Amino acid sequence: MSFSEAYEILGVREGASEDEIRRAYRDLVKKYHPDQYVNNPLSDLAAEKLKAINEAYDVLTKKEGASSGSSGSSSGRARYSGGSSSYSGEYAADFARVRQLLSANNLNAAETVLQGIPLQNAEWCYLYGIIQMRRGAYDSARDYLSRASSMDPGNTEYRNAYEAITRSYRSYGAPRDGGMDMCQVCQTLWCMDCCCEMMGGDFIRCC
Amino acid sequence: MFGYLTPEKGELKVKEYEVYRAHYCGVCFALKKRCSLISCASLTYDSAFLSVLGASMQPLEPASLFRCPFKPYRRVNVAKGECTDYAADANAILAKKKCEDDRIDGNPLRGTLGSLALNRAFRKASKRLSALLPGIDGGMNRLAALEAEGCDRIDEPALAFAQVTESLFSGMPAPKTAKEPLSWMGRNLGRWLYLIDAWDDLDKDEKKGNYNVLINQFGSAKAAKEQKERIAFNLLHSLYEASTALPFLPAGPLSPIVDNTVREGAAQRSRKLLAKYDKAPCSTDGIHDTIAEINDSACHLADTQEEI
Repeated sequence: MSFSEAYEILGVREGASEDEIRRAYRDLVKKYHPDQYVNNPLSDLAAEKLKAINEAYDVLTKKEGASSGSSGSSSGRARYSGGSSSYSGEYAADFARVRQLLSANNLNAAETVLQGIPLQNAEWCYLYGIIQMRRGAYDSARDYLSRASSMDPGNTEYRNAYEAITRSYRSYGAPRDGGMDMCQVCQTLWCMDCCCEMMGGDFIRCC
Repeated sequence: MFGYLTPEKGELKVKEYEVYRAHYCGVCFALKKRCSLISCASLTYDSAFLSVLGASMQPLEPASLFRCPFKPYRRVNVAKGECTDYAADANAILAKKKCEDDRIDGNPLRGTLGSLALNRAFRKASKRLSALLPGIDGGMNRLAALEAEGCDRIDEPALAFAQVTESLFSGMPAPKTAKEPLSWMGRNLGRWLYLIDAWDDLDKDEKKGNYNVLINQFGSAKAAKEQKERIAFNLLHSLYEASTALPFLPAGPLSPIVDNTVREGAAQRSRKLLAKYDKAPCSTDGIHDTIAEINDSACHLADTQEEI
């Protein structure tokens, strides 16, 4: 990768200071961070982008070959590869197969295998929730993920998945200002005045 | 599409707002020129967004001044380009599909008349976008089948409509690398559009006995209103997923409008509409309905005035 390419990827002008480069790099990593792309079909694209960004940063900071920072290049899907689950109960082989199919993003096959398992335990609910999530059926996805984490509260994987899906929307598009209108502002000032007077100060002279 | 997808005006720069207006007028002009004069009546804000979205991935083309055919005393900025034409065709196809849907469920008179009026526009537009028709028809047919059987799961009809918007978004003129993000964005925005429309029309649909997936799932409009938190999750999570596609779209001078619409406009619209039923006292449902209707028509008036 040439220097000019690296500058272009990071979106900074040529000859930018190290500080500027670091800031641009940090912003970009935040933008394409794999945590945002778990169970998202764009996760591969995000991983690619992140890889290019890391390479560009390495070129510009002359640390070629060194892996940098907190970014990593693990894609969201890597979490399902090779039966990373700690599950070892009944039908463990079938569940592992579902996880494999999920990591290959073969949703229909994964669902067929899963439907063939008669045991609807926490693992089943979790995997079904993930399938629904990938499909875009968020309503039932949330339902199944919440079932999974309540059936097995100690499992961090289930809990994380449920928390991730409930966390994203709460902050989305939240009103920017604190939502205080003029009335509330005046009320607060008046209250403050009353309290201060009792303690010997005065905020509003006339009352 | 139903006209819910608008930018948050207060957060736009004036020049961006002007470009947005130019695209709104541009789609209308393209409808008149490419489809039919009468199809201009079916123009929605969603198509204006589609046009802006397409244009945001291309170099900026200057808008030109024209006299508005519907308000001849005004001269308006009109954007022109591939994307505006595409949005006009998409608008004509969707309007026709919506009228056909209306004819079966809801308002047969308006549906039939609208469907007849849009025939010519639809024929022309579908010839140009013939590659997208299988996707659109597939989604619409599935939606009609689900409505006919009275489906009571939120996800199913929302995803059927999402298939329609997905094909429209992924078929727009755009660089190849943008196809996948566009289709993901279209899918999630379609889901959002369907659900916010269902939530917005709860009272109307219950009164007229129309199909509404929320009424079917929860039993009644009143029960659906009590599930506000769940609906909020469905709406806002769809928007969140749609917004994950934004960093992958090529950035251009119009990108702030697209960002604003998905991140601010749609989210604020959701929050506003979610709060719609908050103040409804249980005993005075009738009165509230009337008030809501008055408010609705007031909003409509405001919209029309804005257009003027």
